[in-house]
Amino acid sequence: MITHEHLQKGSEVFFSLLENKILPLTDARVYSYMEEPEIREVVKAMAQGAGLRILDTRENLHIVSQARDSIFATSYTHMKSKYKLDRKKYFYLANIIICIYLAEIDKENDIRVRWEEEGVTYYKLEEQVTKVLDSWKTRLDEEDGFAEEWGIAVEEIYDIWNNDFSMYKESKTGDVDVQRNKNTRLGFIYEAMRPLADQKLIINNVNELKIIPKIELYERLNYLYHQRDRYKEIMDLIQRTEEGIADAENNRNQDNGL
Amino acid sequence: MDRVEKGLKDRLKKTQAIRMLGTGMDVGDLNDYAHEICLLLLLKIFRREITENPNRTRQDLIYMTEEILREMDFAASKEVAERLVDGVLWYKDPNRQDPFSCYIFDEETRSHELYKFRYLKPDREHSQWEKGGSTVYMLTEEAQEIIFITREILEEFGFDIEQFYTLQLIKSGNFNKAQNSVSNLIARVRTLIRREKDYRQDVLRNPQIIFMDSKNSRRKSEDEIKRQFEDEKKVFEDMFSWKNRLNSFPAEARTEAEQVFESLEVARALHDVLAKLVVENMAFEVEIRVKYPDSFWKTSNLTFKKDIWQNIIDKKGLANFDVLESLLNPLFSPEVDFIYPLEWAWEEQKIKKTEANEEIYEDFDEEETWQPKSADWDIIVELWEDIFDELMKNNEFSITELQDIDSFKKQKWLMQKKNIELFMMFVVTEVELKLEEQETNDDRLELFRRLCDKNPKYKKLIGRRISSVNEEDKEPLRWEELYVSPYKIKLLPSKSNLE
Repeated sequence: MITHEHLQKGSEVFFSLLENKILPLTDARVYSYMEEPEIREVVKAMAQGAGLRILDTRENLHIVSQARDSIFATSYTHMKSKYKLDRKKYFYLANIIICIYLAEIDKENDIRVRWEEEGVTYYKLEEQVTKVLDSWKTRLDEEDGFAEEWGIAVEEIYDIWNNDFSMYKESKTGDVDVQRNKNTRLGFIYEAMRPLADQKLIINNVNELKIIPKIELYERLNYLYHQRDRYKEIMDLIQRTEEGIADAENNRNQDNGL
Repeated sequence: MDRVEKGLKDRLKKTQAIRMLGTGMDVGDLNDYAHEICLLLLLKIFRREITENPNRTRQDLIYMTEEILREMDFAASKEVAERLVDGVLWYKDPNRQDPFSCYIFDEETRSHELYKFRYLKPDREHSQWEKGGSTVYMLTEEAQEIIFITREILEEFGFDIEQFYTLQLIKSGNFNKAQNSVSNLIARVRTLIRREKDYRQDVLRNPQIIFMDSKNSRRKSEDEIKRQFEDEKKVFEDMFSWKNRLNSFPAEARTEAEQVFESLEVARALHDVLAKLVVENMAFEVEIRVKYPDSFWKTSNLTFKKDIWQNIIDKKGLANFDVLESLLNPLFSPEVDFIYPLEWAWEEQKIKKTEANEEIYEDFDEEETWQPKSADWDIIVELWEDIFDELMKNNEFSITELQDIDSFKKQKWLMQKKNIELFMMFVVTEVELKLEEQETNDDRLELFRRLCDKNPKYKKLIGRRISSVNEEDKEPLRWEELYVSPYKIKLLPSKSNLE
């Protein structure tokens, strides 16, 4: 039975999570969450109502967005809002950079060796991005195995990366300056990774040009992408979208009398 | 005979680490000497670790290397020193920061397996990354072993041999050597302590390692471990019993001896810490097994890297980028409304201005320049009167309304930073308009005070709150020197209106 006290305590937990984003298990508020199932229920219900989700790991409690329709902005949606209309392709590029970074640092749970968490250099990341874009571009030119919208976006991204951006710019002291030069590859990498840095999921070391993952990032990766049921959710989402597009195309073809 | 051939893999790990030291770079003429320069560098870094000296950043390493080159009488440039350092930190290309690696034969699987290692790793405790500090480096265990091996004390024998060695030295009054030995003892214990701390974290992150085999003496039973610590404690006591003989030693040896016993005390204290940690960790293992039983039978080995990125996004692509966005969105925590992160707001404004500043200083020698001195409040009041009038009339004001004002007024706005800064202050947090008696530190309230002073009609606003919103669909304010996001400040309805 959920009592008024449970509601009260639950809200406390919920709002402090909202304020702090991540709370360690040693925090008193989190303790009540872990110990009392009624409080857990309350918090989870509140999260769901707000379009959010609670993650608990052995060290921390996280609060994150759902895939869509959360009423809250995040540093990620803020980045999205900076790139609207004809600048949307920059947002797409940033997404790809984030994915590549995650792929670089992600490992299966049991083979993650401690020193491998030392991060990825800007140069290495840039190399990877170039590689991926090159291989996609080749595929586009040759077989065209991509969905239409995806393909168009890839062309645009490839264009930005190769034609608009220079590699990096140096500051007056001769060091590479990634914070002020968004129109360079390394500078845009800085931009793309900022939502993660703002949420303290990575350390963006601009002096040594290295991006270091924090344990909180691994916790989220583990929860969001290593679990079977989540994987199924993701596959469903992908499938639904593909079907939706296929349907739309069919309708269009029908309308055109094909 | 069995024992001699067994453990080939482990032996190879040690010999390969020695063999590859100095091969991480190309230093031309000095290539023949790279190995010894690198070894000396590792020794110097290790010395700093033991003496609690945190000056072990890459830059420090370069200075140390230059010192070494001088000691060895090599005329070499700073560039060579840099290459040597990078070649100890990483294998070949410093931009990639790859580890060292080689294939070694595993007798059990009867195949060659990839062995990766480094000589130096970031010392997280001393690096202070979160404060923007440079990375401080420390020796990995592989590198430490090279140093110990070359003193003929093999890792496998662990702590005790070092202790006995020290005891012998003390007994024979050889305090000079004893001091070094005790320093190594301390380093040893520190390493073991670090290992225990790391282990605890690792278990928390992946409990399954409790059951994985490891070469550490973890597989000893609790009794065996307790006995081992008792033995080691006894040796310490033995060593200390020799302190009583101090008086019988000649004067010079006495100060040295005292130093040795001081260090020994440190070692003993650390040893107690270690014992405590080991026992705690054993209890911790049990705790984890009870609390999180399901983490031991997890069979999923899905990863973002393989199953989502490689197999789907990279291989086939998605339908469109909106899907990708849905995939990444859940990574992020919500930002709470109205408390717009200060950094973003300042940063946008600051960075554009910093770039522009340089241009302005170059072009304009006469008239208006940025005034670094204290703000001219008359101008502020003059400019902001208009805004407050607007607030009183329409209850809101968007900064974008300034876009097309006449150039005379625009210049006034641009005359000092505070004019626009004030707007950002209103944006960042809500404020209740209070009439202060005197000058106040809160610039917003100071503005309000002066406005009321100039014209009492503004007193009508006392008690009202000013909040803000980001009109994301609008274009930002763009003047040549300035760029501000399209914020709007609003006068919130007073309580009486609501009732």
